[in-house]
Amino acid sequence: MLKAIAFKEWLKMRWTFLAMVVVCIGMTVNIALDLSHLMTMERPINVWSYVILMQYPFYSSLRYIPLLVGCAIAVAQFVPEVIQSRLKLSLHLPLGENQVLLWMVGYGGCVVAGLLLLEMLAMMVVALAYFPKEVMQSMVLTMAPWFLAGLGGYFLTATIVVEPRWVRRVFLILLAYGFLDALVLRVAITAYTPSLLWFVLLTVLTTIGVVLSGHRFRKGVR
Amino acid sequence: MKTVRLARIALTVLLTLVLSWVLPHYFWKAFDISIRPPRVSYSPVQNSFLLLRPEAKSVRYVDPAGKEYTREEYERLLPLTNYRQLAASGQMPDSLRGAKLDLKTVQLNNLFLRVMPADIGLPQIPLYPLVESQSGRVRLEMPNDFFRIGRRMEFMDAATNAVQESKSQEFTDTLLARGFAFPARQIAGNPTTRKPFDEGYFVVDANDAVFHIKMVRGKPFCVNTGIPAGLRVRHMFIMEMGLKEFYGMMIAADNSVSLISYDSYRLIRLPLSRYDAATCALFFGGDLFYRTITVQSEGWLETVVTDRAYAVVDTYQESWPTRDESTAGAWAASLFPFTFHLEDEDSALVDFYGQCGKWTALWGMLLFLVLLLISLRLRRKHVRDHLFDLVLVAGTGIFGLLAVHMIPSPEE
Repeated sequence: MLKAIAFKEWLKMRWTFLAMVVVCIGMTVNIALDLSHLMTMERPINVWSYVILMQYPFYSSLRYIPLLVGCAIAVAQFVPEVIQSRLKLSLHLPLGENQVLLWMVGYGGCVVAGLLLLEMLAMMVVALAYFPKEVMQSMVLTMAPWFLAGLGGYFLTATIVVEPRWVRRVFLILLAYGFLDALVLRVAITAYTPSLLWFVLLTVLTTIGVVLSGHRFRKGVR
Repeated sequence: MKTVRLARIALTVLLTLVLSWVLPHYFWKAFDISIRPPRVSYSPVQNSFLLLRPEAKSVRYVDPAGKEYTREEYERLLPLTNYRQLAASGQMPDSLRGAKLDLKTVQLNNLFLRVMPADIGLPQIPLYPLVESQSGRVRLEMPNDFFRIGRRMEFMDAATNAVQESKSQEFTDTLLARGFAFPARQIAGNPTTRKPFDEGYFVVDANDAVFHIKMVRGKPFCVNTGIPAGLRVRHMFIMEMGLKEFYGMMIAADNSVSLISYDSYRLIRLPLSRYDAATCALFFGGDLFYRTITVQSEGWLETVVTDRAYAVVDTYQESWPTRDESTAGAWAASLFPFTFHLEDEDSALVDFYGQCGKWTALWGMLLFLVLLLISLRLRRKHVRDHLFDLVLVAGTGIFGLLAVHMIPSPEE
């Protein structure tokens, strides 16, 4: 049964997922090409100075990409369910209604996390090709909150989409905006180091929100 | 149903926290007040303090007694800081306090250093360029590598992104021979080529000893400065200045501030009593005759003037009402039982900087609790079904009240 649900989720999101893979590859290749172009046109030491001393974040074009990935996959997964009220059918499967929903967001969350993890690994490879490990470490710490925003964005978008009443949706959107905005602030590199763990804990709070929306959806709140 | 309740609790708690930084943020965006501290200078002409007071639309030039000056009078009383303007208008005096003034001497002796709380603990990538300090060229030139000091001193070549083995080994051997204990705890320098000359880096080793490391004609230069390890360096600022009186400034763990002098690294301790590196800005100004050191924090400043031997000549203090003491501050302290802000002007880091409200916030919290009870009554809900809401609002006031109304309860 769980396998079947996973397959159904995959069918819904595969094209969006593919689009997001293309976006991630495109962004990464673009950053790698930018760096290689810079290294050819400038003296390498000047590029290093720019990145290390002036703290130029060569990866800053990725700031909102994880958020885009999270939101897009949640929309692809839950909008079809809501529009045709198909979710009600899913919730009648011989599994607890919460279990079905949790399995759905669990599967989607893993897909988002997996893609983001691959993206992070790809960026680490790019960074290590041109810079010492210290630069790569600072890049990972700087991008970590953006990637966290991608995961939080996924779970909160799912919660917002499934919620049946528009007024409540607006409130949830405000919550999502307030929380996710805090993860993509324009601040110094590695600035989130002291608070990252707290933000991870707060992101955990977003994971089961969809259960509340799903409960209201099933009850037919209008 | 249990999971649904849990989901609601998770979302409500998250929203409460988000509101506790979003609401105060917008509150202060709407009601913030501008506080403009004065700039304190010491006139070598009349041996007294002069204040530049920025106001909403103008600037006032006054002395501590309140006497007003015009801008021109103010500049003539501070000829050393305003020498360019005075020279341009032909008003620069030929001599002052028995010393002949020429522009070059004035310029050489004018110093300015500023240390803001956010400068300390500023995120950095621990890689540094080591400039050749005696190349024989007029201008300093960037090397082709950056170094790190971990288990040894390693130079990374930018073109190949690989360790330069022989150079790394040579520097590591010299450091070891001078008694350096790897790894480095702190590396302070002025990594730019836009300076008159290069003094390399001051490095705190694993035993808290401070070493001076630079490169002279391609060879490593490394000496133990003898700065006592017991001081425990909190931060160092190195800045090459033509006057060559000191290498830079050192702030110790006990908030004492010293200059590292060119006289075999002897420390010159600045006569400051209220300085705290976490919350105070430090302005250090020097001219031909005096050193003017200002410590400024929220609501107060203290300026100490010393002679060139760092003996205190005069002091000036001033305080002003802070934002928290304003009417808006009183409202905020009653409205919000606590607040968070993610960005702080005293730090470059994002963190949950918390602040507690005043005891008046208790009335606010009581009010919001009553509002919750009224709201429950109007919606014909039982209090016993909403114990979580009750506890949340009792503990977080307005944030909780808004959150429990924005996130629907499962029973709705």
